[in-house]
Amino acid sequence: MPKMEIAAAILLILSVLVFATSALGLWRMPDFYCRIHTVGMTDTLGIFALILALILLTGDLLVGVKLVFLGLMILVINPVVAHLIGRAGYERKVPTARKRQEGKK
Amino acid sequence: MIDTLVWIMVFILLALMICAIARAFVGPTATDRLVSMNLFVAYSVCVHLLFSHLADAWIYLDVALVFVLAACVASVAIIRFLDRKLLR
Repeated sequence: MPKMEIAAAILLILSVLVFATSALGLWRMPDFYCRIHTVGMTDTLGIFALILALILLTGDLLVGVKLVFLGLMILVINPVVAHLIGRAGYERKVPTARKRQEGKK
Repeated sequence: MIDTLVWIMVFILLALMICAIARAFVGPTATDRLVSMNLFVAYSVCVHLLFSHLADAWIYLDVALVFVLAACVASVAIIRFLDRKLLR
């Protein structure tokens, strides 16, 4: 097994661990703001690790450039969309977990 | 050897996609569903990329590119729609 494939395998395992973290956070976090925090962070890192692994696996220059382009686009789009969703939730006054508990008492 | 790992990753990602869709069904508010939709798009882009390696057909990269752009536009459109307070 060449060295490139070992590095790619490590990056792939890292990315799947990060993705598992994000799905876990989606289920375990108490309210909307915590969820958007988890998902917005981990998405970008996971896709980036996967793109890096695929760049290592392929030898083609055109494919590598296209993958880098895809990575840059995700790097711009993903945080912006996360910010917009968070702002929309804030403007709609989605309650935090503490607020909901205080309302219950 | 590495193909086996990539196949295992594809199946794990499919399981995680089911998790995200289940959250979209459960989620109490519309913004929760939007978050899980965002996550689902990220997973499916990753599956596209892995398929492009497995099938050795790099045309799937363009599919992933268009998918990301369309998902971005869809998210922004839904957020504008939420501003009008039509959904709960």
